[in-house]
Amino acid sequence: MATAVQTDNLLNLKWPKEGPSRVPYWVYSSPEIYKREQEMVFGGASYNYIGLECEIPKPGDFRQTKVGDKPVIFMRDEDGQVQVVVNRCAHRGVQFCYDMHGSGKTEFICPYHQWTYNLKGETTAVPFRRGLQKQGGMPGDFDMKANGLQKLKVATRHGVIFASFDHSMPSFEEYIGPKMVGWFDRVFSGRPLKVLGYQRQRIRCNWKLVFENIKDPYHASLLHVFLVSFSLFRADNPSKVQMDEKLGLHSVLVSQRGEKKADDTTADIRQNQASFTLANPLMLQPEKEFPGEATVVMQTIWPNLMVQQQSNTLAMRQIHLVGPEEFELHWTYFGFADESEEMTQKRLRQANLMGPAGYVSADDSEVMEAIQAGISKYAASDAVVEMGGRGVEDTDHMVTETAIRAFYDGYRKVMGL
Amino acid sequence: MTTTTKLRAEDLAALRAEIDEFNTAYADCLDDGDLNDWIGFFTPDCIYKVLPRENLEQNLPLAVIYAEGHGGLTDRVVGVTKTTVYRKRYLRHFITNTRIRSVAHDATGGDTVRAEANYQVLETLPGEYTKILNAGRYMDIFTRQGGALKLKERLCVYDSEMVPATIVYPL
Repeated sequence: MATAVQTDNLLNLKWPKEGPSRVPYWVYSSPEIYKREQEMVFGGASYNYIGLECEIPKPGDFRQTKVGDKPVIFMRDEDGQVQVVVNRCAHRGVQFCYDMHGSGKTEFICPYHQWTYNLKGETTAVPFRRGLQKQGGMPGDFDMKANGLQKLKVATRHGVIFASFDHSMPSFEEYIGPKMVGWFDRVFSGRPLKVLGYQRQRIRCNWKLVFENIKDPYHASLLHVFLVSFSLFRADNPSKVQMDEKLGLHSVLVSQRGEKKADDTTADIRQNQASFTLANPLMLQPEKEFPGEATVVMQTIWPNLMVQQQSNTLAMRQIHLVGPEEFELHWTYFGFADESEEMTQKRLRQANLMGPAGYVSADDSEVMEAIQAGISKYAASDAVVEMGGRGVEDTDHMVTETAIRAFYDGYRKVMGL
Repeated sequence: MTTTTKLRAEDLAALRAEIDEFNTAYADCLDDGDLNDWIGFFTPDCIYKVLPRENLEQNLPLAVIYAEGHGGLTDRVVGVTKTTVYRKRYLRHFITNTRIRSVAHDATGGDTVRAEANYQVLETLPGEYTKILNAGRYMDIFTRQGGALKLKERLCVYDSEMVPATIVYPL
């Protein structure tokens, strides 16, 4: 379990008496909160998304990533098992792995004193351990086994890798619960995946703003003129919001594409371009590929993953933390190893919707920075989150902020706030 | 029938000057001009992409912006000017170190020029210092149409894996 927090300053931070229908702005800027999140959230009883198994197909393949703000390496060992270790030498703390990714590794050698680790993170060599010419050396009782790289508990499901600093974690399936497993398996059925590429952006706002952005269908039908203009996401499309059975920290937004039409839904959107049509319609010719009627399913898996399925764009959006008011969003776009070239092309074209230059996502990164600018110096004020009521239950419509309330309800429990 | 040509030094210098002139006008259009004019720098069947170097080096096809043809460029212009919400900003392009990789003539007298140039794009948001938005190289294929060079393909390959929050305008 996570270690106890040392900071007493938290005692001064009181959640508003209204409960989950208010979010105090200090959760987005307080250094004490940030510190506690590293311990209780990312370092605590959570499974963090790490990467895809297809990114490290062969023994000796490795990649760097982060859990919260902590650099880690994931790799495939000689037995074919996925290992996740911290990128910090057990000796003096050097970030020993310089390459962001690579293959053909049989061991990692720290450049400073050449401590050497195998692909399971075990120390295999400590130079001059026995001394030199009977001088120096490590103490006789020095135990290499007890001085390996810090390892994380690894869980994989259908090609997706998660890891936890907490080795007492239950299974991943138990962690997200049966309802969320169902949605997860809709995209990750076990069909082999292939990576199409990466996008990475650094955004000057608190990381929770992006996590709750995916839990906020209210904004999607207003801010994202592009989505609405093409009926990819509209407030009146058949939709639902669901949370996991336990803390409500994992959730899905589910919707289906409707007819392109102008009515009172679009009338409420100031900037709607009713006559907007694509000059190159190839960009957006979605093809149904998953069971059921939903055409968009955005799933958040606490604490650092958003699984994006909008039409044929599939991506893992992973949160890396930088500080209380800055984070990075790492996008891994993927398809399926056995799909047609035509389907891959659809994904690459539709990727124009997403990422730092996306027709949709650019709105989000701009607005999120503007939120931070608005709240950073007003820590004592609160956000009003009452659309769709004050409860935290599942709904069968999109005119709600229920998933944000459920999120902060669970967040308070995890954080002890 | 296409033949690769070895140019004389003075022809190479003239071609390089022509590309520099092209890129100066391109930068002027994006920095201080009308975004709609940006489309005219490309052939109707062009490819325009902005992508991180890491994708190129790992043979991963994903781009951050992927526009096909004048239609795709038009959609990008309309997307930026009509549907996207963002703070006001100013761009400043610096395009240098033009190098010509190959020149080919085809039977109809057209030229295909493969060239590269370094680019750096500064971005200024009101109330903030100027920052580097993006830096990398253009990997270009020019063709000559009606006497003037047009881009049949421009890949903007940026070196950093990370970009600041938003890339609003084309690079």
